Amino acid sequence: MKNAYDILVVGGGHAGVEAALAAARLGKRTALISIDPGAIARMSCNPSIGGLAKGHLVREIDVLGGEMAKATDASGIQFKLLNRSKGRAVWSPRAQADKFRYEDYMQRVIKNTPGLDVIAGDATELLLKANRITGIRLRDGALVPGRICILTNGTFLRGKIHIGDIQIPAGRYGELPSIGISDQLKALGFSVKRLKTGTPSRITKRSIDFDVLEIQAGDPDPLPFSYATKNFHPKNIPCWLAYTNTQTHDILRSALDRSPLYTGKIEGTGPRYCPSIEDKIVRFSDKAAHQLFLEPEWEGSSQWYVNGFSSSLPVDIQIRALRSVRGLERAEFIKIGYAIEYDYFPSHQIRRSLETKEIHGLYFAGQINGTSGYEEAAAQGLMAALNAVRSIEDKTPLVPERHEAYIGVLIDDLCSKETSEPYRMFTSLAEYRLLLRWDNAHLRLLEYVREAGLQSAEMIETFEKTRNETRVLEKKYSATRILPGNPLQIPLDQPSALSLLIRRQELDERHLPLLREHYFPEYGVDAVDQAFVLTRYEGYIDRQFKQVEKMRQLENRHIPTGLDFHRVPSLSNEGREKLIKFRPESIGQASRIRGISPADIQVLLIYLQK
Amino acid sequence: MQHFDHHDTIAAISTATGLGGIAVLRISGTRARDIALKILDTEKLKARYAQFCRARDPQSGEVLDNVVAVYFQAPASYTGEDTVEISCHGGYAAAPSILSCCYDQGARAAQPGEFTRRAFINGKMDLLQAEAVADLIHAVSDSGRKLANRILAGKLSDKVRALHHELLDIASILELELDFSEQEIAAMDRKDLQNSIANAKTHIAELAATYDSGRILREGALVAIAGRPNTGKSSLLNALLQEERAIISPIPGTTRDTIEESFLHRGMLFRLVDTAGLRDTEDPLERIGNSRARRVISEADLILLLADLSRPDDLAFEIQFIEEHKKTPLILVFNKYDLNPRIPEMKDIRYLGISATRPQNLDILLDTMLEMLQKHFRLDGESVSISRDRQRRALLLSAEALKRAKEAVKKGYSNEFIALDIREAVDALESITGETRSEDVLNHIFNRFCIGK
Ligand SMILES: Cc1cc2nc3c(=O)[nH]c(=O)nc-3n(C[C@H](O)[C@H](O)[C@H](O)COP(=O)(O)OP(=O)(O)OC[C@H]3O[C@@H](n4cnc5c(N)ncnc54)[C@H](O)[C@@H]3O)c2cc1C
Ligand SMILES: Nc1nc2c(ncn2[C@@H]2O[C@H](COP(=O)(O)OP(=O)(O)OP(=O)(O)O)[C@@H](O)[C@H]2O)c(=O)[nH]1
Ligand SMILES: [Mg+2]
Repeated sequence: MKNAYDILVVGGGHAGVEAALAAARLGKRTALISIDPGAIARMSCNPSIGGLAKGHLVREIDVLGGEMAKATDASGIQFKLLNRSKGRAVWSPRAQADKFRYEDYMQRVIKNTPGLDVIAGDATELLLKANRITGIRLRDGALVPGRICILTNGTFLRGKIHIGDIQIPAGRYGELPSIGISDQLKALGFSVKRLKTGTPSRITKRSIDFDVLEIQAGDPDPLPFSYATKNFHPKNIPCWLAYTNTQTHDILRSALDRSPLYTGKIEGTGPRYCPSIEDKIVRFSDKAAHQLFLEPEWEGSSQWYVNGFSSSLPVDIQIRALRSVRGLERAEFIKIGYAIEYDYFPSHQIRRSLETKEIHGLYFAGQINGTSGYEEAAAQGLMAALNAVRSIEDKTPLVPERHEAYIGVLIDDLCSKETSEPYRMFTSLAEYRLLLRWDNAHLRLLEYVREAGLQSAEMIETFEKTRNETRVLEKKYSATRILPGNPLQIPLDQPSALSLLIRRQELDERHLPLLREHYFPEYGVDAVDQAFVLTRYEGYIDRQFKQVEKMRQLENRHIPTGLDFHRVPSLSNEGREKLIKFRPESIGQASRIRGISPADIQVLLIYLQK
Repeated sequence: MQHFDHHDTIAAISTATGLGGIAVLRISGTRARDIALKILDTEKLKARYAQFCRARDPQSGEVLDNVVAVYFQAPASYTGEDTVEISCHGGYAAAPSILSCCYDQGARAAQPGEFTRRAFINGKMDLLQAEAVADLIHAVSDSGRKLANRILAGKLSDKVRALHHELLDIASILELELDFSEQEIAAMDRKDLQNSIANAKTHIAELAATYDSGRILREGALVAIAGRPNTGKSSLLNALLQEERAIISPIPGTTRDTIEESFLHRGMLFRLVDTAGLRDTEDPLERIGNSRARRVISEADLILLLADLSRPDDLAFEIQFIEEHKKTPLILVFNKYDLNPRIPEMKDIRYLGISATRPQNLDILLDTMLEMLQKHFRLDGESVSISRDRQRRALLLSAEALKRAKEAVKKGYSNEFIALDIREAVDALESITGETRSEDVLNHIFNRFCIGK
């Protein structure tokens, strides 16, 4: 086909942006097709990036060569390292972003990326020939030829907004839904289901009585998300805390019969970790107050986001209820909260490369895989593009393992879990959590960074240097003796091994600058810190590596594609059904699928031995 | 493990061979109903209905027996597969001939335990219950049969599940503080956390400690008959068995090797072991006998220490023996009561007088033995106990992990480290019932706490 693109990305959300940038940067002719190019990289919901486990994802996207971290550093107006009182593995960065600056930044980067075209259009049909993608048809009839298509339609597929008993077809408030593709795929035999999510109202700044609210500022000495960001001096604009009360709850409760959730108008399941306010008061009726965070949507914003008050109740109720909250008595509403229902494709239909099992060249990324969150979407967009490019180049897919990255956990979960609610990342989903720290994403993913080919040679060299230095320092920490009267000002009666002091917590993070200055001046700050963490948690980290080793036998036991599970004797009925549905690629993956019992795994192992 | 195609339909006679009134033949698998219909002269088999009909050899047409057949439709059957049970007349003719017709029609002989294995594989029972089926089949005593039945009814599984739940509670609190720390969640007091972990550990250790009682209920109690030579140990063994099992003679040092015999009393199995008389001796054979005796005594669940009432004056040996075996339940049995009815006063010890050769007080002795075992091993009829070493090891592993968790809390470690130990404890528990790893912690959190902005 003449003038065909290598890769077509449908959707300019967080998944689409990363996918399009990665594909073009890897030298593939790429088109980013989006209904409204002005809305590219829009934050549909809360104006923040990162947070627990999600911050880890952003770091991994960054080291692999994605854009999200840089965009956040460039547009953030408040930064915070969460869980700082806990161990390293669960520290996680979070930022309030100026959502306009974020969009602008991304749109500019896209504009300046050679080989990347932005096409304004609504993709309505996939063009197929013998189960292969050949292009896309737009609503206006135009055809865009291409051999690979990455779908990232977000919440737009047959999207429907609910406010009380009012329903509006929409992809987001004020934006048209995408009709066509999910029907086409359904007709082709894909399983298509509904999910729902919600967003709270936005109110004017001048109507908030800040005097009676609690202030919440960011860290005074914030760290950037991206390894590439230097001279980082972002704004520190506070958020504010308010609380609902029993009166608020009474108002909400009085209107439950008008909630589409309870009248059965909404069929999709919503996330339990992100419940609407009406859901909270029903499920936890004994709780007298719920927290609300008031967040500016951009710097100097007149529009504030009421985090925690997501609702699909009728307008009058939302207004009355919010106005019963102390400090918000005079609240003026700019946008009312709503729930949105949309089509998604249960993720057993994709491979670990994110390519669909049924159609060659068709990839799914982001919300349409049943996930929720900007970070989860961005990570998938990036990985889908990397693997799409690799398939063009006849290379094997590149997918980190569960012990290497949250991205690995995310993808493995997508390929082995049944989602009944939107999936989001939690640190507790990572069984090797202690290995997956936000501070070592560059070291644990180093091989992948090289393979992916998106990072600059310089950056890779820095990562390598840190890794090598860390290895040396780990040994040195055991060999170095700290003497009484040391420059670190650690009181000692007799000489002691440095590693011992670290393990006994007599030497902590605060000593690291001095330690480097007096003992290891020729080593990098990062390496001094990494070696510290490894020494400090050595016992636990070793244990985790042992667990990885134990599982590796199973992970490395490949299940041949196309294995006919009907022919494997003695499997349980449920186990067989699940194996056929998910078609796991390894025994390890099979063992994580619910309904496949340890006995089934034994049976499979024995069968594969033959 | 042997493997056969799951498409195989298996058949076997499920009742014991021999001259019983009736025998039950079981066919299980996708073709069970087809095969039964070929043999039975009935048009249809309705699920869950008892159908009276005749069994015929489809090849010769010969009538084999009048039978009652019941069809259980998958998954509502013992194995979780289509199953037909045919009750026919017992004895050596009917059942085997019907079975051989089943083979002719394409069924395969079931391997020992294969019905239960299929039930386990199809999720009809967990590992504990599958083991209990084996125990039930092999039960040699009433107490063992009852225990197996309690486990089969899911009592032990329930208990393990309750422990599992207790651990999940702890895990969810730990994870909640990690994954939802932005939100208004009151951190759990570290002392409380330590206590919850300690409690869970105690509960798990308690269950592990039921191993001995489980083993006793299942395999019987090991009762060592010990004492100086010539006190009448072998005579007591023979008297209880009512059989001339061991050699008896007035010559001290008659018994050399240990002699074990099983014996049922009120549904409880005793494994009685007669041992060589204990004394210092130069005789090499007798020395070997003595060391064997010592070994049995050290493993015993109950010791019967025999003393000779015809030589009542010197109890120094017995007193020292009792001192050395304080950990094991012990009854001091004064034998030869018929020669001397004056029993010395003893303190802090169960004792009684009997006569082995002119049977006296033997019933009282047996009841005392039973009572002491019940008390010491808490063998009341309702309790569930674990019964296999596999289960005990897993529980100990779990308790061990909890001990580490407790120490980590004490040392002020952050939740993610404690969570690692708790997860190991949970994994160990899950290996007991053979249930798949549950990533239920998040579910648990969502059900218990209001989280989410
Ligand atoms: C009301 C609402 C509430 C939400 N609440 C939360 C929350 O509380 N927490 C949370 O983590 N996440 C929330 N989200 C989800 C978050 O916005 C998404 O997870 C994230 O944006 C998904 O990224 P994406 O790239 O998959 O899709 P999106 O960001 O939705 O982007 C989809 C893009 O595709 C384009 N598009 C769609 N169809 C077509 C087509 N046929 N042709 C061309 N272009 C097309 C759209 O124009 C859009 O640019 C919410 C979303 C909404 C709408
Ligand atoms: N009168 C009387 N004699 C008994 C009684 N029990 C045992 N004897 C006699 O005591 C002698 C020793 O009995 P055994 O049963 O062989 O004693 P033992 O303890 O097994 O002896 P060793 O095997 O040598 O250790 C025999 O002559 C028995 O007949 C009893 O209750 N009454
Ligand atoms: Mg004897």
